[in-house]
Amino acid sequence: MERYSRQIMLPEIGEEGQKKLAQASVLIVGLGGLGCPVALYLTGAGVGRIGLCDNDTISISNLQRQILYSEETEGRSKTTIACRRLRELSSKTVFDLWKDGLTDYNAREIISRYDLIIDCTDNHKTRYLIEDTCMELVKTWIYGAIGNFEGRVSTFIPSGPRYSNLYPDKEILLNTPKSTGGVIGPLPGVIGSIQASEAIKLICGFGETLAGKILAIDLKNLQFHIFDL
Amino acid sequence: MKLSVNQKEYLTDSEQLTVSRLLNEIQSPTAGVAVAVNNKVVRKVDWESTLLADGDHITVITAVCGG
Repeated sequence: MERYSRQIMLPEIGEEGQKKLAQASVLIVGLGGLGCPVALYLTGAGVGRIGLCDNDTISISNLQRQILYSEETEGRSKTTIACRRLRELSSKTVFDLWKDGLTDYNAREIISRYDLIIDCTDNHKTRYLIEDTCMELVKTWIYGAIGNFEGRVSTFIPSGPRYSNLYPDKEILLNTPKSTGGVIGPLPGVIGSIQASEAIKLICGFGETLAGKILAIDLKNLQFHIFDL
Repeated sequence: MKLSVNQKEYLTDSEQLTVSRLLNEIQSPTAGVAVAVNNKVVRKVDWESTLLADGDHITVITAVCGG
């Protein structure tokens, strides 16, 4: 337990919180800019089971912000390389690799296996799929999204407001292509770190979360705002 | 009426200004955006009926989708 001593010494976590983390299972949907820091911090924190879900391969333009990968891993599967790197960090963590990504056909089966879902996806379709499936299966999910200099985070609990209350224009957004716009590297680091922090608080049961709220960050003008949903 | 729109001062002569009319006035997209008035998100179904008052802070929160 020495590896977790610096968080166990926090009264909010303690031995009990550490046990909850070890018993927890978390699914990370998307292993890009957001998924990399989320996976690193949750593995580091001692989450017992982590699902890594992505169908993509590593490209050289990912390296500016996707901190699990390196030049020599270009072209390889993100789930494979992420898992290899995360195992170096924690050999006892159980990793499930979902190499097809999240689809209409597998979403229910995959999501049903986890306590908590973290949305690190890069497209609206998968985000609405996460929402619909989590609603159906009564699961909490942590939303994260980035673009240019701006990021968003929220925690959607089953009894709270829904993502589609915030953005009801589902059909229009579904026809928006997958994000290939600009982004500065530290932005997913900031947003993903907040998502990981939300996950640790939800699992251990302490602190204020972003349930019923949305955090909007603009790194260009260094603005941080929380709005009630 | 003096408003703050996206953290910038915004002056308007419009009377009975609703969220919908403001978005139109500032030529903001209306699809794929959320709008907060004074730190509370106003649901899209309420944009037509939500009147803005002097001093209100309005923030347009676009649905960024990158990950």
